[in-house]
Amino acid sequence: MSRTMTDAAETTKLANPTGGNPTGANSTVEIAVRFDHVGFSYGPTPTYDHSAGDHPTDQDLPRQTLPRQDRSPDGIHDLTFAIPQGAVVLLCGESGCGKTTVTRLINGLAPHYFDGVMTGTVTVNGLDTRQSDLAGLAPHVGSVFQNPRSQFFTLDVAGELAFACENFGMDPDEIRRRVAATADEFRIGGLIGRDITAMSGGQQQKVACASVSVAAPPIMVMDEPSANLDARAIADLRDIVGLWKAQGRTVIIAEHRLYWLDGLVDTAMVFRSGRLVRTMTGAELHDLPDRERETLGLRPTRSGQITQPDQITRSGSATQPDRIGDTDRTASDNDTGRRDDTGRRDESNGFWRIEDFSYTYRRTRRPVLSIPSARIPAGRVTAVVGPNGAGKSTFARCLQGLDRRAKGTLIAPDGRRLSRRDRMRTCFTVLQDVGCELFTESVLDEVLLGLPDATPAPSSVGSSIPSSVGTADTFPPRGKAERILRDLDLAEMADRHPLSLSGGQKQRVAIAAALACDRELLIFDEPTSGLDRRHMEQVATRIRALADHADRTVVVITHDPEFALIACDHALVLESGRITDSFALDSAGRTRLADHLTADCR
Amino acid sequence: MFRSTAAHDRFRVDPRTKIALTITVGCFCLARAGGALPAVDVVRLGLACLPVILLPLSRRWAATLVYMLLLAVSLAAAAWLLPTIVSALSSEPAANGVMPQTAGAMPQPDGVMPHAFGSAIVWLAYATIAMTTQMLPVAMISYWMLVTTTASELVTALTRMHMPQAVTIPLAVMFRFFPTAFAEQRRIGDAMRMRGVRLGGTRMLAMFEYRVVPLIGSSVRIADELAQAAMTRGLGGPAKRTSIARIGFHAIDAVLLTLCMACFVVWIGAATGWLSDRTL
Repeated sequence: MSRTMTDAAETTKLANPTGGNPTGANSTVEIAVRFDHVGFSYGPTPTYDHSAGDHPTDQDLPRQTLPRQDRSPDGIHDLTFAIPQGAVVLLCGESGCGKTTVTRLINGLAPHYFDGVMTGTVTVNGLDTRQSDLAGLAPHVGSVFQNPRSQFFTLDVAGELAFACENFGMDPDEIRRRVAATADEFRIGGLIGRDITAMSGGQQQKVACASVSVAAPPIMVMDEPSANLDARAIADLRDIVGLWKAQGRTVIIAEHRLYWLDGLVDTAMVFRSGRLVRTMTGAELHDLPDRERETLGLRPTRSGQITQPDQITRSGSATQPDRIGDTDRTASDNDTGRRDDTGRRDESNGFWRIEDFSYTYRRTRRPVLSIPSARIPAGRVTAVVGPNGAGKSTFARCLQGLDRRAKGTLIAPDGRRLSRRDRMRTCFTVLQDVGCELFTESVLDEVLLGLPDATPAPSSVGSSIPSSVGTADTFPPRGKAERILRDLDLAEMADRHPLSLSGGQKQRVAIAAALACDRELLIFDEPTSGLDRRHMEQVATRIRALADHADRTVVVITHDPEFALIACDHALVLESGRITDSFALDSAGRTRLADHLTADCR
Repeated sequence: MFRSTAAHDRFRVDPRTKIALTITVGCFCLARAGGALPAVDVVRLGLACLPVILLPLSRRWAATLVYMLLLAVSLAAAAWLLPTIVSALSSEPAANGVMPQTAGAMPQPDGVMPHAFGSAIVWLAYATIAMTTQMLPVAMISYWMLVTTTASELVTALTRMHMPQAVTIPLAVMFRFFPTAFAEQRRIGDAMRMRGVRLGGTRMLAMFEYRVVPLIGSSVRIADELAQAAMTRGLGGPAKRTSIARIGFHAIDAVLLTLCMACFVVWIGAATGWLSDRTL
């Protein structure tokens, strides 16, 4: 069926997609989703045209001048394709290329939830989405979203599984039967009766898939379902997609991480700026040459590509050609105070040593984290990897010294013993959801907040940012803040409200704040989840620069194998609250790390 | 907050009965229906003791113990401590109220107490004890209701009581949203401590803003995503919503509802004087 699929998708004239069906078993393949010259652009529907003259002043309101929400992706233009029933279709491309919009047009969120101007027709299971409404489309299309935390309507698994069927008004006994059958199918019977908020991201995503599956919609739409998942959970997700495929359902997946779908995809569509630029079969995607993949801005399409060295030049590695070998050497050396004469960075070389880290939750005896000793190379980037729920976030809390339950000492390379309170002033955590740690009204204030002896800039001078050194001299912290902002390409945004920035810009503001308050150890929690290849590489470059040029030690908690391999020097593997492995990322180490991060998905 | 998993206990009370019980306890203990009528005082005492029976049946041992202790202490204080304080601080005989919240037993500040200092202490003691005895039973019975009911059970019960979806859906969203908002609040607090932003006297307003602005931002985003997920699964559709929550009236509901009714009968009886002739 995969070959048929391509024919159907590639045609722009909606030719009969059954023409090239090689199996012949099913001579009339039903079309599940059909786009006919579809365009969609976000924004308020221009309704005031009808009442022009009534409120002329309303039109003068500078609605367009407001900063565009970075979350709403760009629209799409003149899309025409057809997806036959039972196909697994991958939508890929850079952020903002319009693939999320395509998923929304299929499940009806556009135009029924997101306002915008729509042209053309989308037909889903024979239904014109514009003539129907969300509730009318719900029995035909099931949707799984990126963030497992915010797609549950109830707090218990059984209630969640039953939710859609309850809304459809099914008989309670029939719902109970279906819930039991689906729980069996997804092997989540053990989770029924558990608190959803206490489950790991992987379990939550599984429940989300199951809860969509219960009502048996023939079309499944997934929007970046793997963004927050570890290798094991991604393997489970792969099984689920396989299950749906075997059941003859149409599965449409918008994704940045591609390797886990290798072998399942019938057709891959690549988008750019709201247009379909390339359609391939699953086999073509598998064999896509690296150069073409780079031009298309795609992440590795099979797990084998991830370990291939030097696909992307490491920033900073040019000045330190033997750096990786060095790490290996020093890591095997017990002398922590050892100095190398190979370069500037190595003078500061040494280790941050962890002593007796443990973390015990309230009302429990056994610690969830227990690390008698471990070492983090100073001035390097260390990846902390491990399955969801292994204690990676708890490890970060301990390192940061966030609360009283975090026990243990961190010994700095120069021998200082840092208690929990000291670590609060030594470490800085850049959260995955950066919005939580930006408080002030402007980017400049955000940086000044961290500077010692600096009060936030008065609002009167906040409007104009003098870049001359003279002004900076009259208020030294301000000069330093501006320098930091310039280094991070944030100078032009100094006056913007931090929350009006895009995700990547917010992350840079947080880094600027960390640099401003001279924290020596920076912790990143999942800095690349849900990022496309280009943005992921940007984050990698930035994090490398922190270690290579700013002499910071960086600890990165990540599930992202591609990122870990290009950005990190050292890896710590955490399992069930213990460090089970610690190695330098030389060529052997890279393979080892890739194995950890892509296990079960080969 | 609402327990997240369905009850598998054998002791199961219909949410509607729980609502009736909570209203009854609220009427008598908190709103003090029936005033100082002696018969109603007995009812009040009985209702105050009700959680002592209900909590262990739902296997909330710790809560039972804490409640029993607090109730005993406040009742004892009302019976002995208050009259002692009053008589010690004033030469006049203390008002002999068994339950301190009895309005008639409240001392008049300038009538009973000669010293401003003593009067303040008595007022404080009265206020504390009255609050405990008046609010604790309601707090406890509400706690019992919340921890033994799932959100979907409550929504189903309200639907059966012919509450419109305009009431039940926002209610369900609210209870879904609270834990999330608390979690966000904790994360923002952590981030503030991590960045070394502390509560300062002159910058209270700024601190408030630092806390609230990110919270609103993330709450709006979560609510938005939640709404999308719910609507793509048919919430708000034309079909009459069904539910797998098993609710229904059983023997225990009959007992508890009779009890509620009895309380009101006693009140009416006492208020009309029909009962007071027989009990006194």
